[in-house]
Amino acid sequence: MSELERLRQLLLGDELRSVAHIEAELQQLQERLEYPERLIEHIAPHFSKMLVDASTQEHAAFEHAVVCALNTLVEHGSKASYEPVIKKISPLIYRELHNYTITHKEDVSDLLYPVVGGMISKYVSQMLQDMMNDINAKIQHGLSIQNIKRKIQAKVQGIDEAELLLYESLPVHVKAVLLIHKPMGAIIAHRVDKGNHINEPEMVGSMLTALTDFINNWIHQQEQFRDVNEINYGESKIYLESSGHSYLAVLLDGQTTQDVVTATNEVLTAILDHYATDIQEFDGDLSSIPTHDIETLFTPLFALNQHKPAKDQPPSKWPLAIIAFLLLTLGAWSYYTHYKKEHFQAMIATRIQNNPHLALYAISTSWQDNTLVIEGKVPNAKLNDELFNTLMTKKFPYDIDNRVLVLKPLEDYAKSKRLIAKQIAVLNSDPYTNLTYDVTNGTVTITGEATSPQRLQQAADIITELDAIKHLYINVAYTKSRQHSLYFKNGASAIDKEHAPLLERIAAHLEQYPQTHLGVIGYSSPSKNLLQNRRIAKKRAQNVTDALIALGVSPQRITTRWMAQPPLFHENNNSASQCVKFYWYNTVQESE
Amino acid sequence: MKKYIKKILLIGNHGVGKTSLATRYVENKFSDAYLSTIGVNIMKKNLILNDQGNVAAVALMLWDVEGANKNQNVPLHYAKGCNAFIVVIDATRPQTAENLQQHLEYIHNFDVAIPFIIAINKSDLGSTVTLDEAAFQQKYSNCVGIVYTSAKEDKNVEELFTRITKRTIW
Repeated sequence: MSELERLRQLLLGDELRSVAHIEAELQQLQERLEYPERLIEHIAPHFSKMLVDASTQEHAAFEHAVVCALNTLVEHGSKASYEPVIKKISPLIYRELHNYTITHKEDVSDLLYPVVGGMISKYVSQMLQDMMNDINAKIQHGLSIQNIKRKIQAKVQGIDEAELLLYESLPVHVKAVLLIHKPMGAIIAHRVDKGNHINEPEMVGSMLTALTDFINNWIHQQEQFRDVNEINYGESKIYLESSGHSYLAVLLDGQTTQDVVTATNEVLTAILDHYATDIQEFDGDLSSIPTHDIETLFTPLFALNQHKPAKDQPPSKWPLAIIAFLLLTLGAWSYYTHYKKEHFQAMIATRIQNNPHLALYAISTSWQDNTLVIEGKVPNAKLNDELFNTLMTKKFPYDIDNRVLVLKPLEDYAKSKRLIAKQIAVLNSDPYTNLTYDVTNGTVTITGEATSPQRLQQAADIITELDAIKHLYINVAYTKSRQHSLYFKNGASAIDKEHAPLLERIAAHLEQYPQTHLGVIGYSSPSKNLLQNRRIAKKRAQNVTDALIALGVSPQRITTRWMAQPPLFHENNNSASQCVKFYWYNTVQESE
Repeated sequence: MKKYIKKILLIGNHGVGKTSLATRYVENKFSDAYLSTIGVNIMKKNLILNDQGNVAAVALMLWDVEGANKNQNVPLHYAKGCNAFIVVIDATRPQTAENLQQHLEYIHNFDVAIPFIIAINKSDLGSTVTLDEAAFQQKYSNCVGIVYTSAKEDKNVEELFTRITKRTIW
């Protein structure tokens, strides 16, 4: 040691030792800072004591500090910083919650009820509301076929209709559909709804087949053969529709409603319509089966999952169909009634016109509701009785109101002469009759030619009843009966050359006697059906009318009618029945 | 690659080891309770088979049917649609081999042309049963072969199922 060194020891000995000591301690401190675990080891006992002291003595400040620290961690800390904390804490929290839940079940229930209970309550309320809407809608559509069907079903099954409604209203959720090859138990095609999954569908298919085989075989031995069609498990079920070589298995939640049964049946039918042979010949080679196409056919079953409350559904087409049907029926009935009345009126008019005594008088028919009113005037009661007898040869489906007036016998000579003139004019309305008359000193002389002695005699009877007439002389040559009808070939309605002479004669006659009107009535044979007969008769009458109009006859002077039947007395004569007949009407009105 | 699903029935007397063989081979199975409940247990094995360049993916469905006895055969409805049979006999019980004829008649009555294979199981315990494979194949054209197996030691199990499955495809 040098002198200088010794001097330093003497002067600074204590300070130097202090510095050395401080340096050693500083080095120790640096080492601890470099190795935090050593620092923690050193501080930990004090730190825990410090925390305990702080939490007990400075409770509020401590709590504030911890909350701030946690907030900072959650808000600003990175995932990497707080995830380890969460991982550490989670098991502790879970364990504590678990223990607490077990030991304080009722407390936990009370605590969770406001949240969970509310959720459940809301869900159940919504479900019930949907169901009620559905039921209400079904009740409101009370006239639907489905409703009537349900009522019958309720009666037959002896259960309440409301129960059936409730059953129908329960939502159905089709989870999966499997098409299973029945003998092999192999899955040919399967489709699962979103969010659902089937583990090993092949196993499910085989097991279902084994189960159904077992049950069917057992039942077959015990009672009678019947396929299993439903397997229940928990809240779910498997609905099975079997046909030939395949099962269609529908895995669903809810009730097997009629919609499910119908859709399953339709889907299986569609599959078999297209792929029955493929399925029958299936030997395990999946490429021989168009799996994807078959799975597409499952769609109607999954469409059941999109069940909406009835209020959103379009109204059933059945009521519309029923209304349309009723309207059609009503229309057809109205048409039939109208046709029947028209036919009846034409028949009565024909009867009057065919009666030689009555044909001379303007007797008209018209409808008042369902009563046929007959109006006109006849010169004596005898003719009125004849009219009545003509009409009442049999019982008619309609009432007839005979309003025909009987004129008082004419005493006035001038009036009598006018009546005689009208009678002769009426007789001359026949195109083959040509009569002239003379009235002198109460003596009437009729000369000329006529075709019908009966009609002339009828006129003579009327004339002789006149008080002013003392004698009647008839000097008439009767010609052979002339043609008053046009005949057609079977089914034909066209006018041909053979018809021309008569049509021209009728047109000339009408021109000669402007007060004469013509009735044209078309007939047909009874051989075809009613509608066809009516069509032919109408066409014949219209063609003849058109031909007469073409010859210059005014349409106002022609009344055209047609009847889907042969003319009177020709009911069984096919060739004679296919004709158009002419009737002449005299429009001369008798004055008082 | 073509896909197939094949159904193979395991038949044989009670206790010959049908279930053990199938269980050793497969990856998925239902509870054994089914076997005693409805008489059948179904297992599945997915296979990729290769035969002279032809490759096929097969879902093999094994129907382990409750063991038959001398007077009662397997219910015929379980055999419907099956593609092949595996007849299992016990190497240590000669009487199970005596019933072999009964099993073969059952198969013959079901379908004269359907392939079958005979498994002499428990061969690890020493076999007291010997069968002439060539003679069998000569007599039954649909006999795929005879395989000595041990479910316990996993001996020839895969070969048994592979051989019969291949026969159903190629």
